[in-house]
Amino acid sequence: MDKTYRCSLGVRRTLGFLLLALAAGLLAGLSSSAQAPQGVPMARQAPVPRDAAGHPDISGYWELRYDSRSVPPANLTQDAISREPAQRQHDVLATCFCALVGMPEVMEDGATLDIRQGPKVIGMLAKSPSSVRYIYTDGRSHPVKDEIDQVTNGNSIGHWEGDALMVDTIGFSDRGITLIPGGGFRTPDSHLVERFHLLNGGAILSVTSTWEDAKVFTTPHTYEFRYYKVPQIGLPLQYSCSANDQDRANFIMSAMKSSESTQVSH
Amino acid sequence: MRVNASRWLIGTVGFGFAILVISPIGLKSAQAPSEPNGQATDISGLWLVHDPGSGDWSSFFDNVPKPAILPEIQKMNDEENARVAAGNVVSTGGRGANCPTGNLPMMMASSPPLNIVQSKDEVLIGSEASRGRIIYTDGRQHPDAAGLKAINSGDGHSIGHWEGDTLVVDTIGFPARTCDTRWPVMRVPGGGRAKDTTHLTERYKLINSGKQLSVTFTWEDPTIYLKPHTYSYTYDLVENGLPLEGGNDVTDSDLLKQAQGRSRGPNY
Repeated sequence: MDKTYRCSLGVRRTLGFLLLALAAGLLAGLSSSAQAPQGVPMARQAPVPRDAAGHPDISGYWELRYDSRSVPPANLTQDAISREPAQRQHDVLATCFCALVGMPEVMEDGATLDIRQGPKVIGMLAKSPSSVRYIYTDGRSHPVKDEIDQVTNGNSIGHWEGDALMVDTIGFSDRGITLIPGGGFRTPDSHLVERFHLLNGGAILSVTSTWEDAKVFTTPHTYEFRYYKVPQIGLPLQYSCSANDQDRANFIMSAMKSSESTQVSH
Repeated sequence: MRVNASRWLIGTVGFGFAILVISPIGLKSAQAPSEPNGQATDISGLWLVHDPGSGDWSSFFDNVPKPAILPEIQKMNDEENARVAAGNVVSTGGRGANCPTGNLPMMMASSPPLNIVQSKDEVLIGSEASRGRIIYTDGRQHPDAAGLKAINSGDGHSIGHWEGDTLVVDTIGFPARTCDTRWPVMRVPGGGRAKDTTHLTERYKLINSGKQLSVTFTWEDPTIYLKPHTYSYTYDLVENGLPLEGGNDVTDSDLLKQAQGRSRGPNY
Protein backbone atom coordinates (compact mmCIF):
# COMPACT_ATOMS: atom_id res chain seq x y z
CA MET A 1 0.00 0.00 0.00
CA ASP A 2 1.63 3.22 -1.09
CA LYS A 3 1.87 6.29 1.11
CA THR A 4 -0.52 8.42 -1.00
CA TYR A 5 -3.28 5.78 -0.79
CA ARG A 6 -2.82 5.37 3.00
CA CYS A 7 -3.04 9.14 3.45
CA SER A 8 -6.22 9.34 1.39
CA LEU A 9 -7.70 6.46 3.40
CA GLY A 10 -6.93 8.36 6.59
CA VAL A 11 -8.68 11.50 5.36
CA ARG A 12 -11.71 9.42 4.40
CA ARG A 13 -11.80 7.83 7.84
CA THR A 14 -11.63 11.24 9.49
CA LEU A 15 -14.39 12.58 7.24
CA GLY A 16 -16.43 9.49 8.01
CA PHE A 17 -16.14 10.14 11.74
CA LEU A 18 -17.18 13.74 11.25
CA LEU A 19 -20.25 12.73 9.21
CA LEU A 20 -21.16 10.20 11.87
CA ALA A 21 -20.77 12.88 14.49
CA LEU A 22 -23.01 15.25 12.54
CA ALA A 23 -25.74 12.63 12.26
CA ALA A 24 -25.47 11.75 15.97
CA GLY A 25 -25.59 15.39 16.93
CA LEU A 26 -28.65 16.04 14.81
CA LEU A 27 -30.43 13.07 16.37
CA ALA A 28 -29.50 14.23 19.85
CA GLY A 29 -30.79 17.71 19.11
CA LEU A 30 -34.05 16.50 17.65
CA SER A 31 -34.80 14.07 20.46
CA SER A 32 -34.09 16.72 23.06
CA SER A 33 -36.17 19.46 21.47
CA ALA A 34 -39.16 17.24 20.77
CA GLN A 35 -39.73 16.07 24.36
CA ALA A 36 -43.29 14.87 23.92
CA PRO A 37 -45.75 15.00 26.79
CA GLN A 38 -46.31 11.73 28.62
CA GLY A 39 -48.51 9.31 26.78
CA VAL A 40 -48.30 11.13 23.45
CA PRO A 41 -46.39 9.46 20.63
CA MET A 42 -43.25 11.53 20.09
CA ALA A 43 -43.14 10.98 16.36
CA ARG A 44 -46.30 13.07 15.95
CA GLN A 45 -45.00 15.99 17.99
CA ALA A 46 -43.56 19.13 16.48
CA PRO A 47 -40.93 20.76 18.69
CA VAL A 48 -42.33 23.35 21.07
CA PRO A 49 -41.04 26.90 20.70
CA ARG A 50 -38.22 27.67 23.10
CA ASP A 51 -36.58 30.78 24.47
CA ALA A 52 -32.87 31.55 24.43
CA ALA A 53 -32.35 29.67 27.68
CA GLY A 54 -33.89 26.53 26.18
CA HIS A 55 -37.13 26.67 28.19
CA PRO A 56 -40.46 26.27 26.40
CA ASP A 57 -41.76 29.68 25.34
CA ILE A 58 -45.41 30.07 26.35
CA SER A 59 -45.69 33.50 24.71
CA GLY A 60 -48.68 33.97 22.49
CA TYR A 61 -52.37 34.66 22.30
CA TRP A 62 -54.38 31.99 24.05
CA GLU A 63 -58.08 31.33 24.21
CA LEU A 64 -60.36 28.97 26.07
CA ARG A 65 -62.94 27.07 24.04
CA TYR A 66 -65.99 25.00 24.90
CA ASP A 67 -63.86 21.92 25.54
CA SER A 68 -61.11 23.72 27.44
CA ARG A 69 -62.22 23.22 31.01
CA SER A 70 -61.87 20.15 33.20
CA VAL A 71 -63.19 21.36 36.53
CA PRO A 72 -64.43 18.99 39.25
CA PRO A 73 -66.55 20.34 42.10
CA ALA A 74 -64.51 21.63 45.01
CA ASN A 75 -64.78 20.15 48.49
CA LEU A 76 -65.76 23.15 50.58
CA THR A 77 -65.76 23.74 54.28
CA GLN A 78 -69.07 24.45 55.98
CA ASP A 79 -67.93 27.99 56.54
CA ALA A 80 -67.20 28.45 52.84
CA ILE A 81 -70.55 26.97 51.87
CA SER A 82 -72.36 29.42 54.09
CA ARG A 83 -70.24 32.35 52.89
CA GLU A 84 -70.44 31.63 49.20
CA PRO A 85 -73.76 33.47 48.46
CA ALA A 86 -72.40 36.63 50.06
CA GLN A 87 -69.15 36.21 48.17
CA ARG A 88 -71.12 35.88 44.96
CA GLN A 89 -72.85 39.19 45.69
CA HIS A 90 -69.47 40.72 46.42
CA ASP A 91 -68.29 39.64 42.98
CA VAL A 92 -71.37 41.03 41.26
CA LEU A 93 -70.71 44.40 42.86
CA ALA A 94 -67.06 44.21 41.89
CA THR A 95 -68.15 43.61 38.30
CA CYS A 96 -70.65 46.41 38.47
CA PHE A 97 -68.06 48.89 39.69
CA CYS A 98 -65.29 47.85 37.30
CA ALA A 99 -62.96 46.58 40.00
CA LEU A 100 -59.73 45.02 38.77
CA VAL A 101 -60.85 41.42 38.41
CA GLY A 102 -57.68 39.61 39.56
CA MET A 103 -57.05 35.88 39.82
CA PRO A 104 -58.44 33.49 38.79
CA GLU A 105 -60.85 35.51 36.64
CA VAL A 106 -57.96 37.04 34.72
CA MET A 107 -57.16 33.54 33.40
CA GLU A 108 -60.67 32.95 32.05
CA ASP A 109 -62.42 36.21 31.28
CA GLY A 110 -63.73 34.93 27.96
CA ALA A 111 -61.37 36.94 25.77
CA THR A 112 -57.95 36.12 24.38
CA LEU A 113 -55.18 36.07 26.96
CA ASP A 114 -51.90 37.66 25.88
CA ILE A 115 -48.91 35.92 27.52
CA ARG A 116 -45.38 37.27 27.05
CA GLN A 117 -42.35 35.44 28.37
CA GLY A 118 -39.16 37.31 29.11
CA PRO A 119 -36.01 35.84 30.62
CA LYS A 120 -36.83 37.05 34.13
CA VAL A 121 -40.54 37.69 34.18
CA ILE A 122 -43.68 36.58 32.38
CA GLY A 123 -46.52 39.05 31.80
CA MET A 124 -50.16 38.23 31.16
CA LEU A 125 -52.74 40.68 29.83
CA ALA A 126 -56.47 40.09 29.84
CA LYS A 127 -59.20 42.13 28.23
CA SER A 128 -61.01 42.71 31.51
CA PRO A 129 -60.24 45.60 33.81
CA SER A 130 -57.18 44.10 35.44
CA SER A 131 -53.58 44.64 36.30
CA VAL A 132 -50.96 42.83 34.28
CA ARG A 133 -50.30 39.48 35.94
CA TYR A 134 -46.57 39.07 36.55
CA ILE A 135 -44.83 35.75 37.19
CA TYR A 136 -41.24 36.27 38.30
CA THR A 137 -38.83 33.58 37.12
CA ASP A 138 -35.63 35.29 38.23
CA GLY A 139 -35.19 33.11 41.30
CA ARG A 140 -36.66 35.52 43.80
CA SER A 141 -38.76 34.33 46.74
CA HIS A 142 -42.09 35.65 47.91
CA PRO A 143 -41.81 38.70 50.13
CA VAL A 144 -42.13 37.95 53.82
CA LYS A 145 -45.70 38.05 55.06
CA ASP A 146 -45.39 41.43 56.77
CA GLU A 147 -44.03 43.07 53.64
CA ILE A 148 -46.32 41.56 51.04
CA ASP A 149 -48.67 44.03 49.42
CA GLN A 150 -51.88 42.15 48.76
CA VAL A 151 -53.16 42.55 45.20
CA THR A 152 -55.92 40.90 43.20
CA ASN A 153 -53.46 38.82 41.16
CA GLY A 154 -51.37 37.85 44.17
CA ASN A 155 -47.60 37.51 44.15
CA SER A 156 -46.42 34.87 41.69
CA ILE A 157 -42.99 33.27 41.41
CA GLY A 158 -42.14 30.51 38.96
CA HIS A 159 -39.44 28.02 38.15
CA TRP A 160 -38.94 25.38 35.49
CA GLU A 161 -39.13 21.67 36.24
CA GLY A 162 -38.12 20.16 32.94
CA ASP A 163 -40.55 21.55 30.42
CA ALA A 164 -43.17 22.52 33.00
CA LEU A 165 -43.38 25.98 34.52
CA MET A 166 -44.37 25.68 38.17
CA VAL A 167 -45.92 28.84 39.59
CA ASP A 168 -46.56 29.55 43.25
CA THR A 169 -48.89 32.39 44.21
CA ILE A 170 -49.81 33.92 47.56
CA GLY A 171 -50.67 37.42 48.72
CA PHE A 172 -54.13 37.81 47.24
CA SER A 173 -56.31 40.70 48.27
CA ASP A 174 -59.99 40.21 48.99
CA ARG A 175 -60.98 42.53 46.15
CA GLY A 176 -62.02 41.95 42.57
CA ILE A 177 -63.74 38.79 41.38
CA THR A 178 -62.94 36.11 43.91
CA LEU A 179 -64.95 33.04 42.89
CA ILE A 180 -62.93 29.99 41.87
CA PRO A 181 -63.99 27.55 39.13
CA GLY A 182 -65.60 24.51 40.70
CA GLY A 183 -66.58 26.34 43.87
CA GLY A 184 -65.08 28.38 46.64
CA PHE A 185 -63.35 31.73 46.52
CA ARG A 186 -59.93 33.15 47.11
CA THR A 187 -59.00 34.92 50.33
CA PRO A 188 -55.81 36.59 51.54
CA ASP A 189 -54.85 33.18 52.99
CA SER A 190 -55.22 31.29 49.72
CA HIS A 191 -52.28 29.49 48.14
CA LEU A 192 -52.29 28.64 44.44
CA VAL A 193 -49.91 26.30 42.61
CA GLU A 194 -50.09 26.19 38.81
CA ARG A 195 -48.36 23.96 36.30
CA PHE A 196 -47.99 25.45 32.79
CA HIS A 197 -47.13 22.92 30.12
CA LEU A 198 -47.21 23.13 26.35
CA LEU A 199 -48.88 20.28 24.47
CA ASN A 200 -49.15 19.30 20.81
CA GLY A 201 -45.98 21.06 19.77
CA GLY A 202 -47.01 24.31 21.44
CA ALA A 203 -50.52 24.49 19.98
CA ILE A 204 -52.12 23.94 23.39
CA LEU A 205 -51.19 25.35 26.78
CA SER A 206 -52.27 23.21 29.71
CA VAL A 207 -52.60 25.01 33.03
CA THR A 208 -53.34 22.86 36.06
CA SER A 209 -54.37 24.92 39.09
CA THR A 210 -54.43 23.70 42.68
CA TRP A 211 -55.94 25.93 45.36
CA GLU A 212 -55.37 25.46 49.05
CA ASP A 213 -57.06 27.44 51.79
CA ALA A 214 -58.00 25.72 55.03
CA LYS A 215 -60.93 28.07 55.57
CA VAL A 216 -62.40 27.36 52.13
CA PHE A 217 -61.39 23.88 50.97
CA THR A 218 -61.38 20.60 52.90
CA THR A 219 -59.00 19.14 50.33
CA PRO A 220 -56.81 20.86 47.70
CA HIS A 221 -58.97 21.86 44.75
CA THR A 222 -57.41 21.01 41.38
CA TYR A 223 -58.67 21.71 37.87
CA GLU A 224 -57.15 22.05 34.41
CA PHE A 225 -57.68 24.56 31.62
CA ARG A 226 -56.34 23.92 28.12
CA TYR A 227 -55.82 27.06 26.05
CA TYR A 228 -55.66 27.01 22.28
CA LYS A 229 -53.05 29.16 20.61
CA VAL A 230 -54.49 31.65 18.14
CA PRO A 231 -52.65 33.62 15.47
CA GLN A 232 -51.66 37.25 15.81
CA ILE A 233 -54.62 39.36 16.85
CA GLY A 234 -54.72 42.74 15.21
CA LEU A 235 -56.77 44.58 17.76
CA PRO A 236 -56.12 43.46 21.33
CA LEU A 237 -58.89 45.62 22.70
CA GLN A 238 -59.20 46.58 26.32
CA TYR A 239 -62.69 46.46 27.74
CA SER A 240 -63.81 49.99 28.51
CA CYS A 241 -65.69 49.48 31.74
CA SER A 242 -67.80 52.31 33.07
CA ALA A 243 -68.79 52.30 36.71
CA ASN A 244 -70.83 55.43 35.99
CA ASP A 245 -73.01 53.72 33.40
CA GLN A 246 -76.34 53.65 35.24
CA ASP A 247 -78.01 51.37 32.73
CA ARG A 248 -75.21 48.83 32.99
CA ALA A 249 -75.25 49.07 36.78
CA ASN A 250 -78.99 48.45 36.90
CA PHE A 251 -78.64 45.48 34.58
CA ILE A 252 -75.95 43.82 36.68
CA MET A 253 -77.62 44.64 39.98
CA SER A 254 -80.94 43.27 38.76
CA ALA A 255 -79.18 39.96 38.13
CA MET A 256 -78.00 40.00 41.72
CA LYS A 257 -81.47 40.83 43.01
CA SER A 258 -83.05 37.99 41.08
CA SER A 259 -80.35 35.72 42.49
CA GLU A 260 -81.31 36.85 46.00
CA SER A 261 -85.00 36.23 45.35
CA THR A 262 -84.18 32.81 43.94
CA GLN A 263 -82.35 31.93 47.12
CA VAL A 264 -85.31 33.08 49.21
CA SER A 265 -87.73 30.93 47.23
CA HIS A 266 -85.56 27.93 47.94
CA MET B 1 1.43 3.20 13.86
CA ARG B 2 1.89 6.62 15.37
CA VAL B 3 0.22 8.10 12.26
CA ASN B 4 -2.86 5.87 12.72
CA ALA B 5 -3.15 6.81 16.39
CA SER B 6 -3.12 10.50 15.57
CA ARG B 7 -5.87 9.96 12.95
CA TRP B 8 -8.02 8.18 15.55
CA LEU B 9 -7.35 11.04 17.92
CA ILE B 10 -8.40 13.63 15.33
CA GLY B 11 -11.51 11.63 14.51
CA THR B 12 -12.51 11.22 18.15
CA VAL B 13 -11.98 14.89 18.94
CA GLY B 14 -13.94 15.84 15.82
CA PHE B 15 -16.76 13.54 16.90
CA GLY B 16 -16.97 15.09 20.34
CA PHE B 17 -16.74 18.62 18.98
CA ALA B 18 -19.52 18.05 16.49
CA ILE B 19 -21.78 16.52 19.18
CA LEU B 20 -21.18 19.53 21.40
CA VAL B 21 -21.85 22.07 18.67
CA ILE B 22 -24.99 20.48 17.30
CA SER B 23 -26.67 19.38 20.53
CA PRO B 24 -28.95 21.82 22.38
CA ILE B 25 -26.38 22.02 25.21
CA GLY B 26 -23.86 23.31 22.72
CA LEU B 27 -26.38 25.73 21.26
CA LYS B 28 -27.26 27.06 24.68
CA SER B 29 -23.68 27.60 25.72
CA ALA B 30 -22.97 29.38 22.47
CA GLN B 31 -25.49 32.09 23.34
CA ALA B 32 -24.59 34.62 25.97
CA PRO B 33 -27.06 34.59 28.85
CA SER B 34 -27.26 38.35 28.57
CA GLU B 35 -28.96 38.05 25.21
CA PRO B 36 -32.56 37.10 25.93
CA ASN B 37 -34.48 36.13 22.84
CA GLY B 38 -31.63 37.20 20.63
CA GLN B 39 -31.81 40.83 21.79
CA ALA B 40 -28.76 42.02 23.67
CA THR B 41 -30.61 44.61 25.72
CA ASP B 42 -33.34 43.71 28.20
CA ILE B 43 -35.27 46.65 29.63
CA SER B 44 -37.52 44.45 31.78
CA GLY B 45 -37.95 45.70 35.32
CA LEU B 46 -39.74 48.08 37.62
CA TRP B 47 -38.90 51.68 36.69
CA LEU B 48 -39.61 54.81 38.71
CA VAL B 49 -39.63 58.10 36.83
CA HIS B 50 -36.92 60.38 38.17
CA ASP B 51 -38.25 63.72 39.37
CA PRO B 52 -35.51 66.34 39.61
CA GLY B 53 -37.46 68.09 42.38
CA SER B 54 -40.49 69.67 40.81
CA GLY B 55 -42.44 69.88 44.05
CA ASP B 56 -45.68 68.31 42.92
CA TRP B 57 -46.92 66.14 40.11
CA SER B 58 -48.48 68.95 38.04
CA SER B 59 -45.23 70.85 38.18
CA PHE B 60 -43.33 67.73 37.20
CA PHE B 61 -45.69 67.14 34.28
CA ASP B 62 -44.83 70.61 32.98
CA ASN B 63 -41.14 70.44 33.88
CA VAL B 64 -39.99 69.82 30.31
CA PRO B 65 -39.03 72.19 27.50
CA LYS B 66 -42.09 74.12 26.32
CA PRO B 67 -43.33 73.10 22.87
CA ALA B 68 -43.83 75.55 20.04
CA ILE B 69 -47.57 75.24 19.46
CA LEU B 70 -50.16 76.76 17.15
CA PRO B 71 -52.07 79.80 18.49
CA GLU B 72 -55.36 77.88 18.69
CA ILE B 73 -53.71 75.23 20.87
CA GLN B 74 -52.30 77.94 23.12
CA LYS B 75 -55.80 79.43 23.36
CA MET B 76 -57.18 76.02 24.34
CA ASN B 77 -54.51 75.70 27.03
CA ASP B 78 -55.26 79.15 28.42
CA GLU B 79 -59.01 78.59 28.57
CA GLU B 80 -58.75 75.17 30.20
CA ASN B 81 -56.14 76.31 32.70
CA ALA B 82 -58.40 79.23 33.65
CA ARG B 83 -61.34 76.91 34.24
CA VAL B 84 -59.24 74.60 36.43
CA ALA B 85 -57.83 77.60 38.31
CA ALA B 86 -61.43 78.65 38.99
CA GLY B 87 -62.01 75.37 40.77
CA ASN B 88 -63.37 73.11 38.03
CA VAL B 89 -61.00 70.31 38.82
CA VAL B 90 -63.37 67.37 38.44
CA SER B 91 -64.41 65.91 35.13
CA THR B 92 -68.18 66.06 34.76
CA GLY B 93 -68.37 64.05 31.58
CA GLY B 94 -69.96 60.63 31.43
CA ARG B 95 -67.61 57.69 31.23
CA GLY B 96 -69.53 55.43 28.94
CA ALA B 97 -68.35 52.29 27.28
CA ASN B 98 -67.19 54.28 24.25
CA CYS B 99 -64.74 56.36 26.25
CA PRO B 100 -61.10 55.69 25.34
CA THR B 101 -59.10 53.70 27.87
CA GLY B 102 -55.55 54.57 28.86
CA ASN B 103 -53.50 57.74 28.58
CA LEU B 104 -49.95 57.22 27.33
CA PRO B 105 -48.38 60.62 28.08
CA MET B 106 -49.81 60.67 31.59
CA MET B 107 -48.91 57.04 32.30
CA MET B 108 -45.31 57.52 31.23
CA ALA B 109 -45.03 60.54 33.55
CA SER B 110 -46.88 59.08 36.52
CA SER B 111 -45.23 58.59 39.84
CA PRO B 112 -46.06 54.89 40.37
CA PRO B 113 -43.36 52.76 38.76
CA LEU B 114 -43.79 51.28 35.32
CA ASN B 115 -43.36 47.53 35.15
CA ILE B 116 -41.79 46.49 31.85
CA VAL B 117 -41.83 42.93 30.51
CA GLN B 118 -39.71 42.48 27.39
CA SER B 119 -40.35 39.42 25.29
CA LYS B 120 -39.37 38.60 21.73
CA ASP B 121 -42.55 39.83 20.06
CA GLU B 122 -43.98 42.33 22.52
CA VAL B 123 -42.88 44.73 25.21
CA LEU B 124 -45.53 45.21 27.90
CA ILE B 125 -45.53 48.31 30.06
CA GLY B 126 -47.81 47.82 33.03
CA SER B 127 -48.95 50.67 35.19
CA GLU B 128 -50.32 50.72 38.69
CA ALA B 129 -53.95 51.32 37.87
CA SER B 130 -54.52 49.56 34.57
CA ARG B 131 -53.13 46.88 32.34
CA GLY B 132 -50.92 49.40 30.56
CA ARG B 133 -49.66 49.40 27.00
CA ILE B 134 -48.27 47.00 24.43
CA ILE B 135 -45.36 47.70 22.08
CA TYR B 136 -45.30 45.18 19.24
CA THR B 137 -41.80 44.15 18.20
CA ASP B 138 -42.85 41.28 15.95
CA GLY B 139 -42.52 43.26 12.76
CA ARG B 140 -46.18 44.08 12.30
CA GLN B 141 -47.28 47.44 10.94
CA HIS B 142 -49.86 49.89 12.26
CA PRO B 143 -53.48 49.03 11.43
CA ASP B 144 -55.35 51.04 8.85
CA ALA B 145 -57.47 54.03 9.84
CA ALA B 146 -60.50 51.90 10.69
CA GLY B 147 -58.37 49.62 12.82
CA LEU B 148 -56.84 52.52 14.68
CA LYS B 149 -60.26 53.98 15.38
CA ALA B 150 -61.46 50.62 16.71
CA ILE B 151 -58.62 50.49 19.24
CA ASN B 152 -60.01 53.67 20.80
CA SER B 153 -57.23 53.89 23.36
CA GLY B 154 -55.29 56.75 24.84
CA ASP B 155 -52.28 54.46 24.52
CA GLY B 156 -52.59 54.46 20.73
CA HIS B 157 -50.98 51.69 18.70
CA SER B 158 -47.25 51.16 19.21
CA ILE B 159 -44.74 49.24 17.13
CA GLY B 160 -41.06 49.03 17.98
CA HIS B 161 -37.75 47.87 16.62
CA TRP B 162 -34.20 47.76 17.92
CA GLU B 163 -31.49 50.03 16.56
CA GLY B 164 -28.46 48.60 18.32
CA ASP B 165 -29.15 48.98 22.04
CA THR B 166 -32.01 51.44 21.56
CA LEU B 167 -35.65 50.46 21.29
CA VAL B 168 -37.34 52.85 18.87
CA VAL B 169 -41.12 52.97 19.25
CA ASP B 170 -43.58 54.51 16.83
CA THR B 171 -47.08 55.30 18.08
CA ILE B 172 -50.17 56.65 16.32
CA GLY B 173 -53.89 56.15 16.77
CA PHE B 174 -54.59 58.40 19.71
CA PRO B 175 -58.27 59.33 20.17
CA ALA B 176 -59.49 62.65 18.77
CA ARG B 177 -61.14 63.41 22.09
CA THR B 178 -61.48 61.82 25.51
CA CYS B 179 -64.39 61.90 27.95
CA ASP B 180 -62.52 64.17 30.38
CA THR B 181 -64.35 67.51 30.36
CA ARG B 182 -61.36 69.31 31.86
CA TRP B 183 -59.03 68.44 29.00
CA PRO B 184 -61.03 66.85 26.18
CA VAL B 185 -57.90 66.60 24.04
CA MET B 186 -55.19 64.55 25.74
CA ARG B 187 -52.48 66.61 27.37
CA VAL B 188 -48.77 66.14 26.69
CA PRO B 189 -46.09 67.32 29.17
CA GLY B 190 -45.06 70.92 28.78
CA GLY B 191 -48.34 72.12 27.29
CA GLY B 192 -48.67 69.94 24.21
CA ARG B 193 -51.54 67.80 23.07
CA ALA B 194 -52.10 64.41 21.44
CA LYS B 195 -54.99 63.40 19.20
CA ASP B 196 -55.87 61.30 16.19
CA THR B 197 -53.42 63.13 13.92
CA THR B 198 -50.49 62.92 16.34
CA HIS B 199 -47.34 60.84 15.87
CA LEU B 200 -45.07 59.90 18.77
CA THR B 201 -41.56 58.51 18.54
CA GLU B 202 -39.92 57.14 21.69
CA ARG B 203 -36.33 56.00 22.13
CA TYR B 204 -35.63 53.66 25.08
CA LYS B 205 -32.03 53.18 26.16
CA LEU B 206 -30.43 51.74 29.29
CA ILE B 207 -27.86 54.04 30.87
CA ASN B 208 -25.68 54.04 33.99
CA SER B 209 -24.88 50.30 33.68
CA GLY B 210 -28.55 49.43 33.42
CA LYS B 211 -29.53 51.19 36.62
CA GLN B 212 -31.45 53.82 34.69
CA LEU B 213 -33.64 53.89 31.63
CA SER B 214 -33.67 56.96 29.41
CA VAL B 215 -36.75 57.57 27.28
CA THR B 216 -36.83 60.41 24.78
CA PHE B 217 -40.25 61.43 23.54
CA THR B 218 -40.79 63.33 20.27
CA TRP B 219 -44.32 64.45 19.45
CA GLU B 220 -45.23 65.56 15.94
CA ASP B 221 -48.51 66.93 14.64
CA PRO B 222 -48.79 69.88 12.26
CA THR B 223 -52.23 70.68 13.69
CA ILE B 224 -50.69 71.15 17.16
CA TYR B 225 -46.95 71.79 16.98
CA LEU B 226 -44.92 74.26 14.96
CA LYS B 227 -41.97 71.90 15.25
CA PRO B 228 -41.40 68.50 16.93
CA HIS B 229 -41.79 68.61 20.71
CA THR B 230 -38.98 66.65 22.35
CA TYR B 231 -38.17 65.89 25.98
CA SER B 232 -36.60 63.07 27.96
CA TYR B 233 -37.37 61.24 31.19
CA THR B 234 -34.98 59.17 33.23
CA TYR B 235 -36.37 56.20 35.14
CA ASP B 236 -34.59 54.59 38.09
CA LEU B 237 -34.55 50.80 38.40
CA VAL B 238 -36.37 49.55 41.49
CA GLU B 239 -34.48 46.32 42.09
CA ASN B 240 -36.58 43.43 43.39
CA GLY B 241 -39.50 45.82 43.63
CA LEU B 242 -43.06 44.67 43.32
CA PRO B 243 -45.77 46.45 41.38
CA LEU B 244 -48.49 48.07 43.39
CA GLU B 245 -52.12 47.91 42.48
CA GLY B 246 -54.11 51.07 42.80
CA GLY B 247 -57.01 52.66 41.09
CA ASN B 248 -60.58 51.77 40.98
CA ASP B 249 -61.21 49.05 43.48
CA VAL B 250 -64.25 51.06 44.37
CA THR B 251 -63.27 52.56 47.64
CA ASP B 252 -65.19 55.67 46.68
CA SER B 253 -68.47 55.50 48.56
CA ASP B 254 -69.87 58.45 46.57
CA LEU B 255 -69.32 56.53 43.36
CA LEU B 256 -71.01 53.54 44.90
CA LYS B 257 -74.01 55.57 46.00
CA GLN B 258 -74.32 57.17 42.59
CA ALA B 259 -74.34 53.89 40.73
CA GLN B 260 -76.11 51.79 43.28
CA GLY B 261 -78.77 54.25 44.35
CA ARG B 262 -78.32 53.43 48.01
CA SER B 263 -75.82 54.06 50.73
CA ARG B 264 -73.21 51.36 50.96
CA GLY B 265 -69.49 51.73 50.69
CA PRO B 266 -67.32 48.68 51.23
CA ASN B 267 -64.24 47.97 49.17
CA TYR B 268 -64.75 45.77 46.17
